[in-house]
Amino acid sequence: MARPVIEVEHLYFAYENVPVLEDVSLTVCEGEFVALIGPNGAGKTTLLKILLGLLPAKRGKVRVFGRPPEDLGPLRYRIGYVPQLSHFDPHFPITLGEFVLTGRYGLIGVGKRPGRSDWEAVEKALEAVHLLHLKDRLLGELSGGERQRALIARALSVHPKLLLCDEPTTAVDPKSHESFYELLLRLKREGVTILVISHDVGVIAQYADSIACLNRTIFCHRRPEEVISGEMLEALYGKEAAFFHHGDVPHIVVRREKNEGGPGAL
Amino acid sequence: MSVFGLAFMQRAVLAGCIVGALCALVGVFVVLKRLSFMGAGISHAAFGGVALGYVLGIHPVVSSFVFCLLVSLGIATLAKHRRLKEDTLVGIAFSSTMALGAFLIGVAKIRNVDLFGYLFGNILAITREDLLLALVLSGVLLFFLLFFYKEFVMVTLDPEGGKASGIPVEAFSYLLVALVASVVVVTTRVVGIVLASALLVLPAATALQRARTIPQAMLFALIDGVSISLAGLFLAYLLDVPAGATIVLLGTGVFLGVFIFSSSPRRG
Repeated sequence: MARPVIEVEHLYFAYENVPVLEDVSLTVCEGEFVALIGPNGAGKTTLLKILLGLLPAKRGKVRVFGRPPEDLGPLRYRIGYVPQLSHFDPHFPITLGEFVLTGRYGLIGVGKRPGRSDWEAVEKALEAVHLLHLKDRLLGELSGGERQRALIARALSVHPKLLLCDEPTTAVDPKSHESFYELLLRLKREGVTILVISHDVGVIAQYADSIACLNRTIFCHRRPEEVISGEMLEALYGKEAAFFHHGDVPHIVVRREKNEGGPGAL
Repeated sequence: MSVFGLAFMQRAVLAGCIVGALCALVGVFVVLKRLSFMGAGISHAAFGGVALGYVLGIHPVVSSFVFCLLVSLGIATLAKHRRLKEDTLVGIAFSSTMALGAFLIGVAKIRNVDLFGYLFGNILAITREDLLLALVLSGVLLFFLLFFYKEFVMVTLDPEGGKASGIPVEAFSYLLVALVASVVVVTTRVVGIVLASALLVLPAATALQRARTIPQAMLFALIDGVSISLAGLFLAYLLDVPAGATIVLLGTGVFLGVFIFSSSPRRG
């Protein structure tokens, strides 16, 4: 049995007095690729931020690489984080290469300068997302999809052991989704543990080892075919607008055209 | 006798160049991190600081320096509270510190203070201590920018990601605010309390319209900041008008010129 990289047990979190996460338990083992799905406001990003040590758990146990997220030590540099694209000012005056390098700033160390190995890591990361030729372009000169890939390259620049992605394909055109997930699969084969927040249920089901459904609490964490088969699949893809029932309120998670082919053609 | 022969003019030129350069360098981060209003608030707090100095018998430059640092760090600390927005806090500090200054001057019956000089700058009033303070601050600012450049970039571009990757972003945010406050206080000595924040923002905002990267923006801003300070001082001397106002108007002119003649400001 592989070692657990992420262990969350009975986690509670609230913004002031508004509960966001209640009794969340989730385990992700080394080399696993887990997709985290759920409606807007379900607490997906909050969970990611707790794993990163950006927000404190109110109650419960959270361990990343066996340690509390706020006390990871050098293991912190082995986490690649892909935040949502909307988090960035697209006109920030920075070249793509420099932007990817910011991923290594923590690893380089406070007050120290990037060296040749840092730039080599940047180039390797850019190569992995096929953006090396745009290295000297400004971030603001890139398309939405290219910027999204830049964010992924930034996370890859530290050679992560754990990759946490918050909706990494929102700005990527559907044609490129597959190559993105192929990239994740390649990383998985290299032993990287991956947790991806996605609305892309149909696509991610082909790649992820398991899918965790979150709506304040994890109410199921199973193999993809179990999550999207039977009633769940019908609920998801039976109508043009797909609904996903979390708790009492149905939420739209996916909107795609009616698909004749069933799961194989997704 | 040339203009340079005058001792006060020598000091003014030197102070103008240093202040123009300081504002340009730190201003790039001020504009990118949207601290412009914070800068304006801090400069107005200097008025309260100066009055406190007179009342307590402390050198007004020292008192306003300490007072502005406390006010700016106080705003930065309170702004972390979820229910308080930074611009609200700056708005409050802006007027309350001015009110404090006016109140203290009234209470202490201070009559011999050059109020106009503090508000709009008085190059005749620039002392050797002011110059020394500006020089020391230049050294401090250059040191921090050289050694912690990448940390300041992270604090500006992506504080959350920085924190996640183990950079003490909060400490560097406070450091940046403290540096801004220090630069603003020195700047108030040259162009006055009311105009200091303009000099802080104008060269950087002008540069960022065309610059591709932060170092390039700093270089453009540096050239702009020092040029308008020098040109403004000489023009003010020739026309016998307030130097601070002339510098700021020149800076605004350059900003508008770059804006109009740039086909696409902030490309991308």
